[in-house]
Amino acid sequence: MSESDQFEAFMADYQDMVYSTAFRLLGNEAEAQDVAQETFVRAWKHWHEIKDGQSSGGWLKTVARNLCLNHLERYRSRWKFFTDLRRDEDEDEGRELEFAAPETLQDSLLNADQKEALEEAIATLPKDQRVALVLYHYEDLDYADIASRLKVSLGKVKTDIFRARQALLKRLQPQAEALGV
Amino acid sequence: MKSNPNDPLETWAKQALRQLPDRRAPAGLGRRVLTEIQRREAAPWYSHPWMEWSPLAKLASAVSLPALGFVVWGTALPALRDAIVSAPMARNAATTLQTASAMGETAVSLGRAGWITVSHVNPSYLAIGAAIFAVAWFSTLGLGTAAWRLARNND
Repeated sequence: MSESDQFEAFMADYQDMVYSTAFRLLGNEAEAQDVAQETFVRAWKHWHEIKDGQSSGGWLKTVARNLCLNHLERYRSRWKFFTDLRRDEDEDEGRELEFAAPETLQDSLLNADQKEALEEAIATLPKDQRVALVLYHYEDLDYADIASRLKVSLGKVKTDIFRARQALLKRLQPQAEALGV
Repeated sequence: MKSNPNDPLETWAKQALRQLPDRRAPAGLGRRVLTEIQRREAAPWYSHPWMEWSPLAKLASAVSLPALGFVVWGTALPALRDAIVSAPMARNAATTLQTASAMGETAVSLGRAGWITVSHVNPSYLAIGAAIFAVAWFSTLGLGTAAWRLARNND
């Protein structure tokens, strides 16, 4: 099997994972494709280093994540300072919002409709909330790491993740209740 | 500071999100990557990032660029300056430069006069003046911030 064939097989194995990582962080199909493409182009440049490694999946995930964060950083609004001020004022309000206790959903498997609804809900979250949530739950970064990577305060990260979870739960609860879960 | 198992919302989110399968990548992604790799490999070496150049090319550029700079500085710039000075519009530029120069000298003189005045004032008066200025500055900033927040809240 030639190097090129090996690389194609490697891409086939990992392209869904790389594309998912990019799409969940960016919330945009075209941008996610661009990032996935650049990730694999870089993988080809380092092919001799990663082709035999056991951690090539982790390498790809890290590169895709960093490219996404660089992309988000590049296009961050110049008025971020003011929007952050505005949101910081609201930070304490988040904890006061309450939804029905999510115990009813714990330890339950989501059905296909719920998974689809959840994917859609993630994609429609506000960017700050989506990125923080994905970094926490999919990329396994802790609050401090996320704050450092996104150059925002720890409080903002916690609030964004909290609100994102609430939004997802709110989106899924009617379906869960209808199904008697 | 990682997951908090006592937070039911966090536990729910963790379980729910982990159940989502990977999204299917677009069918043409693999082909697109290969095309891009071929395009980049076909591009001439000098269009690649400098860090990817061969060591010899890096060395040659590191040596030749300063040399080129010296040549430009020593020969091309004087010739360019002579050409500009002989042009009709250069006279207007010269007048503007003279005016700017005179304004600069005036600013320097005023600065010197200010410094002489300040250096003859009792330091305690200067400290009081600075404190008043600081209070006025921060009061204005505070009032401005309050007004801005009021305006945003009224939106």
